[in-house]
Amino acid sequence: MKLRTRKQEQSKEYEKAVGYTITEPFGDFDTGRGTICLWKGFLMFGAALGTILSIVSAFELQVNLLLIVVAFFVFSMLLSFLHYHHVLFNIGYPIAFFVFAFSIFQNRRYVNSGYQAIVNQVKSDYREYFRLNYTGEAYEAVDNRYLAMTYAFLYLGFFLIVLLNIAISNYMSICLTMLFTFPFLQFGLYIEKMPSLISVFLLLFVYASVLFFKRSGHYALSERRKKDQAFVVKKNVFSYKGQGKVMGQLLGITFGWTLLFSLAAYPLMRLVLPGSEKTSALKAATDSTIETLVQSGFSSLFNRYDATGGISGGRLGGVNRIKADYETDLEVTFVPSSLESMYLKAYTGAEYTGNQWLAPNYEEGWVKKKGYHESYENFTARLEAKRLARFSEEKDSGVQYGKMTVKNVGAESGYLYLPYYEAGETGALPQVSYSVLVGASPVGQTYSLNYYPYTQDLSELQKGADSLLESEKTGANERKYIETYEELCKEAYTQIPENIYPKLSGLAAEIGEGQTAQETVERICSYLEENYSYSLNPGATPQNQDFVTWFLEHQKKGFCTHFATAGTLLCRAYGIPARYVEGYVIQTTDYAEAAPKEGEAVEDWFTGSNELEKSGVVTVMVPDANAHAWTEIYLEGFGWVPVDFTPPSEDIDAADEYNSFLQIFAGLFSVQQGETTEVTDGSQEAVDNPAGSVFKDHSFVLMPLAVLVFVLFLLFLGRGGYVRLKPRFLRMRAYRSGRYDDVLSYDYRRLVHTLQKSHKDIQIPALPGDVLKLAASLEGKPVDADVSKVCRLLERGLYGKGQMEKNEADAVIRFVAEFIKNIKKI
Amino acid sequence: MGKQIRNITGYLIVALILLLCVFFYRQAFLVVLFLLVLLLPQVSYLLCRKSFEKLSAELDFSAAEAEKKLQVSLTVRFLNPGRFPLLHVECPLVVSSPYYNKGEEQIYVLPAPVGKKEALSLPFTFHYCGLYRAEMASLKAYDLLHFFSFKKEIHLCTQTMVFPVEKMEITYHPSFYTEGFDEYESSVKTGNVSSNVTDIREYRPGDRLQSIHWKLSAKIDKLMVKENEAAASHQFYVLLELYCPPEHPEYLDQAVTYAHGVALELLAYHENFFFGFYSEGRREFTSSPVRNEEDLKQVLREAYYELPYTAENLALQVYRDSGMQKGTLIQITHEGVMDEASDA
Repeated sequence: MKLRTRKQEQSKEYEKAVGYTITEPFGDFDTGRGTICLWKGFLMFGAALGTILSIVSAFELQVNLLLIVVAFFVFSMLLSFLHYHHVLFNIGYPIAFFVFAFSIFQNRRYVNSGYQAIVNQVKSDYREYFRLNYTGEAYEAVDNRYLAMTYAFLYLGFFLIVLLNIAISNYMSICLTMLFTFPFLQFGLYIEKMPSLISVFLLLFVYASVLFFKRSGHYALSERRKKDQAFVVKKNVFSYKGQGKVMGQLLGITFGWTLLFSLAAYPLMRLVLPGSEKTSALKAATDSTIETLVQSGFSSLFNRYDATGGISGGRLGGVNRIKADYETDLEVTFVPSSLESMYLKAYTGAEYTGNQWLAPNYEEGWVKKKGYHESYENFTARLEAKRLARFSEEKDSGVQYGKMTVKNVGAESGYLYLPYYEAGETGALPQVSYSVLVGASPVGQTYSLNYYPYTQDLSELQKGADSLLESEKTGANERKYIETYEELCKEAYTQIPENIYPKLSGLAAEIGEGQTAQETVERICSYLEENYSYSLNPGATPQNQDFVTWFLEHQKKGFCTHFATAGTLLCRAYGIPARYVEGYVIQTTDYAEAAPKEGEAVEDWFTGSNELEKSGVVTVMVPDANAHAWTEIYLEGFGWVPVDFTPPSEDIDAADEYNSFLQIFAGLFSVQQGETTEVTDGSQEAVDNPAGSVFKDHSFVLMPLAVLVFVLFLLFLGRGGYVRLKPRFLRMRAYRSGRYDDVLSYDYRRLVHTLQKSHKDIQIPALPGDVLKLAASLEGKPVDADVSKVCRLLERGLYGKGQMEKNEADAVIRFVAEFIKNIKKI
Repeated sequence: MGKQIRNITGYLIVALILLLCVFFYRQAFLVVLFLLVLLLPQVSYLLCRKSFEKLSAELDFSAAEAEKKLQVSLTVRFLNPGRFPLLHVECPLVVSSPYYNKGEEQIYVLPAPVGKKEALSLPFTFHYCGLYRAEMASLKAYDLLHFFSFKKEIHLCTQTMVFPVEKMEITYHPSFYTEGFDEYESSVKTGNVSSNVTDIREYRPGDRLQSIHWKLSAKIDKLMVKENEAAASHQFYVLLELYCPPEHPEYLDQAVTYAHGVALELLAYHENFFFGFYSEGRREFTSSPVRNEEDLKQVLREAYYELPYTAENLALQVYRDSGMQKGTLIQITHEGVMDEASDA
């Protein structure tokens, strides 16, 4: 306590030489506190007004400008002058906050309506720029837009001025000032809507002034509590904090120059630059993100689930864009036998909820109503495989029968990945439930199975299947089961939620029904392909919007889940039993260059005719980009047949080249950067590899946020270290600059602290010399002449006035350090 | 330098961001803005340089002479006749004293607004007697962006003298009273001094009543006093030791304070005396008769310009060796009055 008092006393005197002191320095240096507050208020006013005017002018919003100017001026001055005195600051801020909160509550209807009006107007202009069909209109409670928007700008402005008060009055930070104002200028600029000259001028004036003041380092008010401390003292440099007169003069000159410059440059601003008619590639890349943002709001920037690559478990609409990491999910070994894509089915969706396909739940709903018999499923399961085998037998080519091993490398472990049609002869992992293959395949586990490859023509197969059913030597019960199941399918797998039924039935009527189910499916395929485009970056479905309706009516572009869902529901609209399926697809391009596996005989893996005669046993690495969604339709007499409604992608636009603006940066860290990898979603698209594995499974928007949180966490942790290390650093600096009394003061405190910690029962003496003697005695040292000398030196260092020599200080420092070291050992 | 590098780096980052915006938006507005940013350092340099060239400064103590422990203000003034204010002007100030230190440089960073003289007042409190000199050798200023610095030499100097205020309790050595002085003192007390009258002059405030020449005063209707031989013979010689070891600067201050006290005491007794000190640099004594406080201040002023010496009792030694001993010597050191009997 004594030491602290002594320090405080010392800080009031600036004794730099023997013989004199400069006490309470610079008492009559005119800082002009009030003037500084005034200029800062002007800067805040200029920044806030410039910002709001940039929006008002760019989007041609109708507001009461006079009222806004007057109110902003009053707000700015009010908040700026709160810094004049600490009492004013401590009382004024809560009052201002209360008044603001109460006032905004009272006028919430106008403010909210005005805000919505501004958003609607901005969105409308953006919609026009991007040629969007629909961006959504927010509800405006007040018809009088002029009044409502004036209200909204008043409160937005007040909030902005509060932020600017921190940026300018406290820190005079150009970065913060720009952070709070520059983005608003971008709103108009982005869609080539120029802000007014006066708003640009005001912002330039504020930026320049803040930059000058910040660079000079002289912008601060002296301490609110101590008006006289107008100077900052560092070593032997006495710098004034701020002065109203010089600030005013500089502001005047900056104002004049900025005004002249703005007026002179105004004609230049309207010039059209050569090449400006072309959009830069960078802007094109951001356009898609902005477009999505405008269309779907901020929620579109965040994934609502993390399954952007691989299986999503039937969840729909939460993905803004596909971001595959291209790492292997499955390792599949088999003998390719056809040019057709091979589908590995994993998830089956039966019930559509608007944002998800739910797996069949037979414990309730339609199955329960019908009365379920387990034996029925045991029979119908893998019925398709049996039928396919029988059908193939009758053909000249004979039965195609293959063996396959699937290793789960990084795919979801909650599913089995099985080809069409799994024979079920291995008696391996798959479990059958309600005609759906279910089970689990833990990561790292390999399972093998036999299958009948689905390579037949749909129409032929159906015909064959019908004849097959006739020849099936089954009992009456089994036949009954099949009939029941077909009846069940017609009811359960043709369900459409009531709210979207009119739309789908209308669309179905527009498309027209074919003679057969196959023809109808082909019509749907053609319709979807003609009217909707494939995109890996379609944007997320807005909250509270139906996934398929949003896709069919507004979005009009999407990836496999969009098409599979639309196709499934459209089939149902025709009364064709259909269900949604997720899994992986293997294309010929995936194994075209794969070397045949050595030591494996093709005969052991495949029997029957092979369209690809030269193919051997290959192992295909299936990446998450191969994850796909398709539809299964139920053909009477055969069973479930896969149908892919996803159209092939055509041109890849600038946005898709980058995939997203954010991914450009992600690409910087990509381990595969520069390589070109064929990406398939289904079998339709090939794009440059956009993402690196470092950021796999992470949202590129969330990543910076996560980094920010991490940095904040580190800062939080570091604060403890800072508190501990700062005194040591100051001590080191004091030692280097020869202020040994400060060094001794620190060491003495450390000594006392150590003593208190190590000997809690001992009363610490008041005098430093006695403390040192006590320390020596605790250490077992005799209090001899040397110790007494050190005691004297310590007291002289603590109570003298900078008269310590280095060697004297070193003696004390050594003694204290040695003691602390020894006492810790004890 | 580090700050300048940081500033330049920050500026380059801003320029790069703006350049990115230019390529991003491809709008003339941003190109103009970018050009403005590029021109900013040059404009800042030219404006500040021109203003700095015209900048002048003044340095002044509020009092040429002051008493110990009282506050004296040192005023630094800028006159900026240019049209551009300078926000950051560094003036290195050295306040030194021949007695105590060579002075440590303190840098004051001040603004230089356009036009009027901007003044900074530094309130000094002097604890030791002596001469204090404030000097400013140069001025340094930075441009608005703190990229460039300008420097120019100026040579400003001002000084103040600090005198003691307290009258010390003086403890005379017993021998002071026993040798010669007591007879004189007794004769003064009895008023028997007429035989030694050497001069008659007009009355000055402070003169003793006993020395008034009443008859003459009555004749000419003006108070006249008699000056006797004893007073004019300067029996006392106050010798100030300018001894000041570096580790004890207070010694010299104490000696000056004692000397001042003794001198005042002697003046109070209407003793005219010599006040002297030894100049080691010139190797000679400076002695002046002291009849009043003004004489005393004058001789102290002269003493303040001397450099102190580190040999104890050097003045006394030289005084003895020189054989100039006359009257009663009163040697003043930091320990007080060390009087010596005169053999004259």
